[in-house]
Amino acid sequence: MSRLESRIVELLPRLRRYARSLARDGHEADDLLQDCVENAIAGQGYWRGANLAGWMMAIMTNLNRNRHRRQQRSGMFSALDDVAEPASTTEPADPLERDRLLGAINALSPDQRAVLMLIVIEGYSYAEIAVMLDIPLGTVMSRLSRARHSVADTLRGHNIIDMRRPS
Amino acid sequence: MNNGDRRDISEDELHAYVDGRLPVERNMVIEAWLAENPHVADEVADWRAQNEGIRDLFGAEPKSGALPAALRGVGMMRRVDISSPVAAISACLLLVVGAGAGVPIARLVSTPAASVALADTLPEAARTNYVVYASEVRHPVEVRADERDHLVEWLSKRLGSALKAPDLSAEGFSLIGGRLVAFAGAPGALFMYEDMQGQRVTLMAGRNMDNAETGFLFAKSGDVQTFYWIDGPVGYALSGAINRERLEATAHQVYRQL
Repeated sequence: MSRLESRIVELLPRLRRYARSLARDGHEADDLLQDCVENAIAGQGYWRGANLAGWMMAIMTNLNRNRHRRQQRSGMFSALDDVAEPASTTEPADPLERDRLLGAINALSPDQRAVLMLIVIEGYSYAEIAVMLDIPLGTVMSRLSRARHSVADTLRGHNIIDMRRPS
Repeated sequence: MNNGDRRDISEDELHAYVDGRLPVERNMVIEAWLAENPHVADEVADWRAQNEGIRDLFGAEPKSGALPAALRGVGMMRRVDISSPVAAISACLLLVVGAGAGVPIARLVSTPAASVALADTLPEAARTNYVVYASEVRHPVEVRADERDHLVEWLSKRLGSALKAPDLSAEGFSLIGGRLVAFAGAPGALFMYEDMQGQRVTLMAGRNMDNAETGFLFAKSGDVQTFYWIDGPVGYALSGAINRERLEATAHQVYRQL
């Protein structure tokens, strides 16, 4: 195994976590991780020798965006909605709340979701994400803003539906 | 959000506040300002709650998962994907335990023996095969147990080593059948057993290229537990989501018969 490959092995838990935070279910997360590792190994000539984690997360972010585009074109999006299971690993305090949040996150665009997860789960700064994804800082901020407003709106929408339901 | 009453505080700064990216003194300014602007404070509280919820959903590093195929070569693979402790004992101790001395294997923890490469890929591959195939209702196996001789002969031939499908009826398991699986870039064999309650265990056999032997090893990943060992040219792994004592007893049955 090459030096790159053994470093990737070390990063696998983090990469797997990021894949799960982007994916709509566990299978998609596994596929995403798989594709990302293949791409990284095949394209290792492009790696500039620093910040392997950031480089691979950027690859995964792009792969995920492309995957969503393909799925939207082939009409798989709604089908996936029906079968989506949480790809997460922890038990929630309130499963209902958690499902609602997951639904709201699944409704985000892949780009908005990626920025949110890189900040909240992976702990990157806004500037680091701009460099990693090769986008302006303002774009990072607007994606973050849209993601948070969208999640809040979706969750509020759920509450309204619940409150209107006759008891 | 009403931008009119935010004065010199931008939304970007509120996000940075939620994400803990501001200097302490700026945090205090924002907190004081939020106290006077309850609508914005509610929104900021929502974002904070989102962050907590997202961490609850995705924050934990998954302990295990399928190893990407691109990294599945034998070679220098190191133990990373199964984080559970490895318990190992020597083969002679195993026989004592198997004979009924009842020494709990986990208590006899020692460093894993010789074959690092195979011993590390084996439990993960066994777990994956268990998860994928044992959950299949209609097609759990390729060749059913009523063709037992053909099954064993076929898999032995593909594996390149004489196999047996052990009789596990003493532990309540009967053979359903088997299938060919990929293991470390070569053909491997998977036998599947089921008990009266429909609980399944799988026995995976893969070719050992390293020419090394191990004692009895144990790995746990989620609900799935695996006992595995390398015996000359073949590595074996018994996986199941049953309780550990029963799986261990079943593994002893396998070991004795192979």
